[in-house]
Amino acid sequence: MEQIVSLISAFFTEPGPGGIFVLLVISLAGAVYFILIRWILQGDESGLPIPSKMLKSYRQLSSRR
Amino acid sequence: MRARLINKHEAAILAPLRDFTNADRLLWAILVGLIAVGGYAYYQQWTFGLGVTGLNRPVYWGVYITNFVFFIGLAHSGTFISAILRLAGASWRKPLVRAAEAITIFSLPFGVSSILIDMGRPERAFNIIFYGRFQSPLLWDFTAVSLYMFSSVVFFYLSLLPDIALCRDRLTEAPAWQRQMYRLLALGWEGNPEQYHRLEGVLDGMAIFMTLLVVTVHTVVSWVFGMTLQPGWHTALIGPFFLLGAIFSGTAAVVIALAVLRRVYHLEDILPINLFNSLRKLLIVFTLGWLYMMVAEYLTIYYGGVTEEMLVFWQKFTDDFAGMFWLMVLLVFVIPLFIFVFLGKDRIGWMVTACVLVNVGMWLERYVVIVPTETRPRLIYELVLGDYSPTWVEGAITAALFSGMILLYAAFTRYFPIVPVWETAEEAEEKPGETVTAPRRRWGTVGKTAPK
Amino acid sequence: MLTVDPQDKAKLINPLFVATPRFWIAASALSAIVAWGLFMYARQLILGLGETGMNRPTYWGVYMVNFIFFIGISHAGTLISAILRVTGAEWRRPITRVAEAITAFALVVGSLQIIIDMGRPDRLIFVILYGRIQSPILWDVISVTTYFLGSITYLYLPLIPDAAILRDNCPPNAPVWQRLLYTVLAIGWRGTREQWIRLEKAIAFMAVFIIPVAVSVHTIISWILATTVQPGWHSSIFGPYFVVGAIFSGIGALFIAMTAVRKVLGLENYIAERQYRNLGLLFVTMNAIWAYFTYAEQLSIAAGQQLEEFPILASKLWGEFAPTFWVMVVLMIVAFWILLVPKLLPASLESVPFFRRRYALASGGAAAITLFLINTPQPSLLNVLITSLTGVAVTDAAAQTLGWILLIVFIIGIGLGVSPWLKARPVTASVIASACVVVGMWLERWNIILPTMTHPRLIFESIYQPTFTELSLTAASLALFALMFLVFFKLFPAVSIWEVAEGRVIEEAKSKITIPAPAPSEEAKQLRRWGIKKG
Repeated sequence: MEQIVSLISAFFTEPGPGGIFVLLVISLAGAVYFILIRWILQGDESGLPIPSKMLKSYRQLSSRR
Repeated sequence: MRARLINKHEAAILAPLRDFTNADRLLWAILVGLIAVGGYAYYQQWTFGLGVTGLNRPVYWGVYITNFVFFIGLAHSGTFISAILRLAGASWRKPLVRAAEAITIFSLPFGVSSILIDMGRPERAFNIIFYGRFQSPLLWDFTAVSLYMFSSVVFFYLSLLPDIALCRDRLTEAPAWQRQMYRLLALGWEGNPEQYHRLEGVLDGMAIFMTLLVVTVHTVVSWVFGMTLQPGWHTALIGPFFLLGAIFSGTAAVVIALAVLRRVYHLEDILPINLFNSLRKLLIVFTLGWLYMMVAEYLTIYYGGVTEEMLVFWQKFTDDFAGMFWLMVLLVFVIPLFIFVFLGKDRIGWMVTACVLVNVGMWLERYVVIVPTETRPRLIYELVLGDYSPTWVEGAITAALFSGMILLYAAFTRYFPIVPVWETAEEAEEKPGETVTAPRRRWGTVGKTAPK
Repeated sequence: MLTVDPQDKAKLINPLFVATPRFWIAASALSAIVAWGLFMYARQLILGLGETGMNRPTYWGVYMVNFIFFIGISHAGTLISAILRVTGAEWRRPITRVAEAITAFALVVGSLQIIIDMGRPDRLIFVILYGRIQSPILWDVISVTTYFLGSITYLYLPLIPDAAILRDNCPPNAPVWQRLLYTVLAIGWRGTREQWIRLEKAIAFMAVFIIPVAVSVHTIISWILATTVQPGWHSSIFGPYFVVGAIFSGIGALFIAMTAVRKVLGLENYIAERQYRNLGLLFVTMNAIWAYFTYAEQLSIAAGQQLEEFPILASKLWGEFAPTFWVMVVLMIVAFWILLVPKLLPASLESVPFFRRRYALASGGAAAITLFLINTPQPSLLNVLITSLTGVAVTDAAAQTLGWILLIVFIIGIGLGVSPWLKARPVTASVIASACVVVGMWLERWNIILPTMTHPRLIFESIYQPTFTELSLTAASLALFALMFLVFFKLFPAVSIWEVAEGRVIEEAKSKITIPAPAPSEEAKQLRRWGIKKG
């Protein structure tokens, strides 16, 4: 437990750990974007055409009132 | 195979990509020339050190940092229009989206490189990663701006993707390397409805993220100044102040870019005049909002009468920097507000004039925020009455940065459609018996009349 | 002779002529509290301001907090009526009258606070006789007066057609004075085309005019504080910060008021889910913006660490103002959660065990126990508990940290468990969030004024304890506000009849899908016949 507390206080006071923060943030963003782009491109033909899909969901919304 | 979306303006939008005139060649030559001069100036600085600039003690941040803040501010235009207006459900923004985001993409690198140019030893930039301290605003600055740049590129690329596929398919007469480029960048985009659906979903999600990022980035940039104790910088308002200023100058830049594109590429049908009227209303609100913040800032300082603060105050109002300060007030408020309110409606020429003045004025404003404070810093013994005169090196590099941005932008418009073809497309035909107008609901848009 | 749709008549007009026992009880109770307040004020006037807790250096206390609080709430009306009208948001129609009424009455009660705060109220005339234009207090008097006159006008103008409707639709047994009231207020309104056009122009002008006035009011009030050099006050962010806070608290008050009106008068058809949803989005946005400004403010002081400024922040974070500060923060976070998380969670989540109320209750119990354990004196029970459970010896500090982390986890558990319940009841959720916000914003005003007053720049520190007099007068002010509200909506319709009818016409015209709404009223038909277009 002490190690964790001292680790956290070191993160905030010593030079060095802050840089890890930068790298973590950028890498996390990179990973997320990679996965998202791949997911987008994996969309296939089975989806319905957009107009009636939009209308269908709109109809569902309006009937739920 | 393709979604049943057609865009009747497609030919007009793709026309610039099929052309490359002598005017282009001349423009690029001039811009490359300016960049070369700037490159030479930087070489001088690299060889002889930062002494070739006007920087000194106590004025250690000058034109380069002004450029940094200015370019990051310009970048906020794109995100404002594509992300924030997307969330607000303003559908009139659609034709502008890519032109605005292109400003973001092409100004951010120059903002970041301004920092590197400002450093006498640029390789020390890596120290942020090796020896970063979490409590430093510079670290947050580095993180936020890098994340913003990265995310903007991804956001831009995603919204460009269907149009790259369009270019791949339509521009069959382009040279082989160009067609190969489109093929590579299109990542095999087919354009089926499911892909479009997912793309829209991701763009919606990223729009929220980008909005939060915009607020964070420019606030954090301002906190590089605001978290010091220097008089004139250490105000709590500096966060919202810089943020509104950024969105203001960015929107003005979008107007300029749009007007130029409209004229040069003959896009009058696609970028109708009511776009400019909508932007005009936004600009009036921003001008007044920014005037409000300026008054709040300077009134508080004046009434406080604190010694160190007043030295900086008088520097701006009556002493060394009075000329720049009052010129800035004229260029950012007085003239543009008059033009926006009385002359701007339906008149693109006047709008562009006002927006150019706004941007020049905003550059001056950044300068006036940064430099006077350094000439009258807090520690009295340093009251060497600091002074700052920029040299030709700084001027040349600034010119090179602007030229670089314009060059990248101009080049982009010749290879990719500047108006998003897929976002401005309409449905081809409806099935019989279905009603047409079903406005796409986003997050319970405020102000949109949807039947209850 | 102006006619009105029968449903509108039943819901909005008929209650005005029937004084139920419920009304009389409420009115009497409120009047009693107000009378009590008058008595306490007379006492304070005779015995002097020593009856309050104010002293040197704390010369501004609860009264000033109330002043800023009430003026802040008055921004509700402007936001809803004026800004939404200017941006063409149709959903504002049923709530404009409630909002404008809040503005007018909040301004009255707010200005009263200043008079109550003065030991010699007769000196108020000095502002006019010996006013100095460079004084922020003079600007304050000017702007609040302008805003008040503007708001009254802005409340009255849309009231004219409604007064005319009431004049023409009084039941036969209506008292003479009431009919006379409506006749006078309607100033001969006949509903001709020319009159409508002029009224529209006037309202549109007032809407655009009153927005900058409202912004200036709360900015100038903040400058009364910011133009001093007191630590914690001398901050340039105060202008926009106060405006944002005012709009924020105003929306909260509006939620409460419109729910009360909706409940008591049975106006579910008029003030419907659409209003709650859209206003809720605005509310969340203002919450976020307010949090941003608060954070910017406090971070500046924290980073600056200046000699006089930092003790003020310290007193708020862990000093004598820590309870009020942290309660405020918690209330705002709770409000944010209530408004946002139910919207984000799908309704189907109710079937997942963790998202049910009993788990929220269990989490709540665990949180309470943890809070108790954290605050026990050393050697802490928490330490003992952890050591015995996990067999690992921990220091007290580490045990405390773990305790706080667990507390946050349990509180999040409460939040998640309650969310589906909140999702099913948007009106209740809005009211709970608004109550949190209104109380939180009162505390926020307290946290701005009192720490600086008790830790001023030159004089020694002091302590401030509000007395019974101040609390009585605060209660009386709230009662006065509620009483004015009650009486006003006993005499005038809570929903602007003509604006709502107009809205129905516009919606039917715009949408291609038929709404199952009541048939357009006579008035709406008349408007359509004249081809008057709005929006």
